Amino acid sequence: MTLSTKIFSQILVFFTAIMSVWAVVFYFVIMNEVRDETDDYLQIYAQQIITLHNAGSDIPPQKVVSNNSYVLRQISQKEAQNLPHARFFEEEIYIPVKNETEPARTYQTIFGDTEGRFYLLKVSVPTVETQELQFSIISAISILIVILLMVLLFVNYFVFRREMKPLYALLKWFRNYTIGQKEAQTPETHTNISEFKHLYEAVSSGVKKNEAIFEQQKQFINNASHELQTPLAVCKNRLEMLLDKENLPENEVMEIAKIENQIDKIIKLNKTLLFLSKIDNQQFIEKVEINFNDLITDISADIQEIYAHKNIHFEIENNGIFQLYMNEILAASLVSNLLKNAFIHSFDNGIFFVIINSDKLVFCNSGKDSLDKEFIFKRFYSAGSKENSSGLGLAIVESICKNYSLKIDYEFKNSNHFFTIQNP
Amino acid sequence: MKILIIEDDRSLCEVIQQSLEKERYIIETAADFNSAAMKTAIYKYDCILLDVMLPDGSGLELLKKIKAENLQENIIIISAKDSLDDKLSGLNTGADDYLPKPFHLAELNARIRSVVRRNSGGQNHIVFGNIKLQPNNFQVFINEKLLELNRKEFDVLHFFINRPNRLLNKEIIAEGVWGDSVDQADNFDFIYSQIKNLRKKLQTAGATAEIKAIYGIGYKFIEL
Repeated sequence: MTLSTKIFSQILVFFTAIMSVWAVVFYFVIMNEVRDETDDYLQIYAQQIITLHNAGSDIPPQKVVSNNSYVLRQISQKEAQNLPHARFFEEEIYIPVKNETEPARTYQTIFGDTEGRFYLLKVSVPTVETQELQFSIISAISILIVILLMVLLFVNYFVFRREMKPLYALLKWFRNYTIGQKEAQTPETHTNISEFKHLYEAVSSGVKKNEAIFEQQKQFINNASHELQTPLAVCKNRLEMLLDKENLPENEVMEIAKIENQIDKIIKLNKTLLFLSKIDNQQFIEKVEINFNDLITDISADIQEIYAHKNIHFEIENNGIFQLYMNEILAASLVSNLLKNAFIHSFDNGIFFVIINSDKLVFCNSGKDSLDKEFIFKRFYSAGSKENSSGLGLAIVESICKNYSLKIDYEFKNSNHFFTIQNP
Repeated sequence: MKILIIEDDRSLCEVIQQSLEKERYIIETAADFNSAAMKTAIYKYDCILLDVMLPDGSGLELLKKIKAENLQENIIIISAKDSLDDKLSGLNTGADDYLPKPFHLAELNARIRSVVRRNSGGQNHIVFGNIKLQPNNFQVFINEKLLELNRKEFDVLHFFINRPNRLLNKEIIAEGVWGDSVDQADNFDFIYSQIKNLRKKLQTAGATAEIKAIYGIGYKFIEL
């Protein structure tokens, strides 16, 4: 749910609720006022009739005014005592002119004249007009609410769009931001809203801090790897000289060879880390058009030879030409790492297919269990810890893909690992 | 043959010196830019090993200086910075080869030989015992008789003949011949089978050198 939908729906709910309550109250207040007026009128009317009657004058005939009517009849004293002295009520009255009944407000009162006779007087006024009034009020209020709501939403929408611009600009900037990319400067805005100013300041300083830490880390790895080269070279070369000595006992030669092996591993690891940091620093600039079909065929020939003992059925399926404009070293590293990865992790007598389409490369090899998609491209993640696996191959692959905006995906289906590289 | 090692790390300098003295080269060393510049200005060397990062200056600057004085030395850059930029600018300035640290002494030796051979002119073949290998047309002669080798066998022999009398472990051979893609191999049978074939061919042809297996660690190319 977006912020605008959230705000607008809340406005809609609260405004409608408040306006409804207000409308109901307003309606009842008005209707009450109207009824009070009617009642006052009826009382005055009744009083006039009583006065005229008691004075012995003529009472205006009922039919003169069709809206008002009255009934005057003499009642016994007993009846007069049992009936309430005065009351208001609603009733249906018959209107002879229209020859129909209509709802009406009635005032009923009892009075006596000077000769001790009792009379019951009912005066009525039809409430049809009141109903019309009700209808008018309700429709007026409804129209008012709808128009107010529309205006409110409309104004809100425009204000929101204009004032929230810095927020959306910041979000857009964040979406495109990747740490360590020099061209991505901190976001800028010309807003005068203090919250946004603070937000931008917070983001800017956070980003700057992170960039600095990231840069430091990169530098550290880079420097550490470089500084290790010379001592490693010395160790390695001294062992080499020792190995070349004549008359060394066999078991000692074996031990030295084992140490040399381990040092070679450290050297390899160190080189790979340097390579990774160089990729991340985008130090491979020269680009050429690379035909991956040829590249895969070339590299796989050597690798197949190396892993011949595993007896893996290897096939390249050329469905199209996959071509990219990229650095030669990185292209070779990308392909050889993916090929090696598959050969190393396939079990003996397994299968390995490389499917080349014009927009994607699929590396599919047999495997036992699915790998953890989340960690597989992380540095030093290795499933089942193969002794000769550096745990950096797929990290390199991911780094290279990221450098060229290629999409890499991993899937495990029907006992096969699928690595897919897509050129978007 | 006289070689100057310009390297600020004393320990590394010492190992390289010992290793090269074994090959009967005459070795001079320099640990910083100034003494190196002085030595190159006064003496003449057949080959200079040049470290790029020196305490008081850049090896690349020294390289420019040497080349500007039109000295005909062979120069091999040895650098801890395995960067393409350094390599390219080094080679463009006139270095003959570039060897990133850490390297194998056997590898350094091979590079020195090939650089000196390349620049001494004329001789474009390598001889060991009665084996003559011509890198430019991929031909091998034993007693002037052509030996038929496939591509990989030739590469293996080329690798060995450049590094004679050195114990080479399987990883180094694999990397030298098959390239970087072997770095995670867990089985080196593929080397074994190539070397087995090569040994058989050398023996049948009556070569006076052989590839000797050493305790399952690796191999040594020795003269019989």
